[in-house]
Amino acid sequence: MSVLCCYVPDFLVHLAGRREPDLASRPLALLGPDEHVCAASPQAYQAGVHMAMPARQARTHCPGLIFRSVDMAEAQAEQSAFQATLAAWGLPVERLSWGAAYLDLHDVARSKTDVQPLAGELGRQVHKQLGQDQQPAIGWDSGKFTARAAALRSRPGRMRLLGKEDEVTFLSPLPITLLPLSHNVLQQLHWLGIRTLGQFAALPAVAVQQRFGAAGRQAQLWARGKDARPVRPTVNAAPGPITIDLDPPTANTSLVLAAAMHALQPTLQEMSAHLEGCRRLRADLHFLGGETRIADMAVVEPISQPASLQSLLAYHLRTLTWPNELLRLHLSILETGELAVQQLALFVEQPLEKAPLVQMAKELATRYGPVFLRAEFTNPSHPISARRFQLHALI
Amino acid sequence: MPTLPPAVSTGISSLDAITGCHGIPLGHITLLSGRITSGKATVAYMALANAQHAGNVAILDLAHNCDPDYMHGCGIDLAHLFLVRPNPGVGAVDLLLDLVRSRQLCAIVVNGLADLTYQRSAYQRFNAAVSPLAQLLRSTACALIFLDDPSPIWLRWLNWDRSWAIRQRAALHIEMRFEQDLGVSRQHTHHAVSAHTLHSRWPHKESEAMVEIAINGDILIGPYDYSQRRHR
Repeated sequence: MSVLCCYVPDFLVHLAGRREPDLASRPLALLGPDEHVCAASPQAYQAGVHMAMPARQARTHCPGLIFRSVDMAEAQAEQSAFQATLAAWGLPVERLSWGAAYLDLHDVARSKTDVQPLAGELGRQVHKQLGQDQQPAIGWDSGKFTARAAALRSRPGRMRLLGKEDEVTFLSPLPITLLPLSHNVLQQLHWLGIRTLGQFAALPAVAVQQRFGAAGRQAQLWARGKDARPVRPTVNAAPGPITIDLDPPTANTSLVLAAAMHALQPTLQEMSAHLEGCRRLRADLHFLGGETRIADMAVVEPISQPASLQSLLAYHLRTLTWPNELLRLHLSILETGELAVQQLALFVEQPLEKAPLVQMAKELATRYGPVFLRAEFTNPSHPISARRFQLHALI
Repeated sequence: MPTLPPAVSTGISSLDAITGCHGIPLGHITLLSGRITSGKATVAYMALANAQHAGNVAILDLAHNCDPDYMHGCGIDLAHLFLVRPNPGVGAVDLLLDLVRSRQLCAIVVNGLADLTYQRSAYQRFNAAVSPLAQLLRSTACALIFLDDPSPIWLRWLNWDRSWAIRQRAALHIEMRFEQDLGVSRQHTHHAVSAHTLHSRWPHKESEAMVEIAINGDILIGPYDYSQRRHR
């Protein structure tokens, strides 16, 4: 395989910046329809704002944070233009996220020397199409995940091309947060001391499968540079429609919602195991008396969590006018996509240092006095335990 | 079924198994109670040693009896340990809140609860601070471990003991009980203790685990043959 990943950093943030130039160089978070952060400026990321974070929590991390809603129509138009530029070459294009897509170069170029001029030309075209403020970063490898990691690791306007032999060396020091795993899994890995893809790749496969399931195993394969997923067309193949017959017909939204979630559960589990999520969902509602309603639901980033999908579905079902009791419900997942990573931390976390502790001790010592101590071994071989060490004031 | 929280292993698999969350839960209050030499401090130090892989840890040593040599034996890296020795009183409660609020620590051990609450004013302040403390812990994902001597059972029934408030809010309460001294050739080298889960917010199949603690701080895990090793 030969996959090229084209990634435009801060795609949505730049679009917001075009509308309001005053927002440049200020911490900005863009909220999706569910009031969760779906994109943030680099200043906000530095302050600890992550994707999928509730607005209130983001405000606690960054008190001066500015919130704006995503203009979906504008973003969609810009995304379409971006994808059209890539598709102009007549090669298969798969949308990854906002301002990011994969391009299959399998039939055109398979070595670094072949890819380099192509990638350069592609970058220039995308830059021309999107404007001066949007510079793409390009990554190339034999697998999708490594290509994406290479693109994320590159600076805007640069490219990083990897051969099969460079994959392990390149991936090993990268942070674990590049994997689109759920927050709980990432947190557990963090507490286990697993910080880099190399550490995660070195774990026994059986243990990973046992503890984190199929999604964890899939992620580990990616961390080892093994990603055999083909580049698929932009609209991913979605599972067939799900039909729910309600007997007796009901106007109770909660009942309908419960039935819908029950029916969607296996599909969601399957998608989640492949680290994929639902990007667009359509609900056809057939009421008694023959009337129908259609609800088209789109999310900013793909979701696979049942709770997120339930809240999306609940919002649309409750805002729809119900002329009568509901007789039948068709649910179709129109588009799926790869789950987004929650935090684009591109650099390996620094080892723990005492500096923050000393700073904290200094602040607290002004109120509580010299109560902070540090133990130091002065005579480790002394037969009396209490004389082997001394306690010094930390400040 | 409640979601399992992230947890720090105590390093003793049998003990982790009875907590219901595979160790000491982060973001929650844990109460370790037991008489002197029952091994509660050892278990807390082992958990701190494991927590040091994830972040900074602190010991609020109100009893002023923490032994760094023993901590080192339990695996704690003393260079990255924050040892705090305030005087008991209202200030110690405020200091505990400030330590949690700092978000710099991933585990704190309070040694011991009785020293924190023996003054009336401190006890009242502490009771008022327990609920905010529990909320604060959830937002900071910090594990807070209280070491406490067990209260007489009749005091517990009447809720007159000073650890009542923390017992109510603790997500996990483990009581350590001294079982017997063990040794080889009439030399006392170990003692056996049993750990009992009195309360856990997460389902667990077993509620009792046996642990051997060596004099030098090493921990051995049962089963073992009492008849062969006991010397009295």
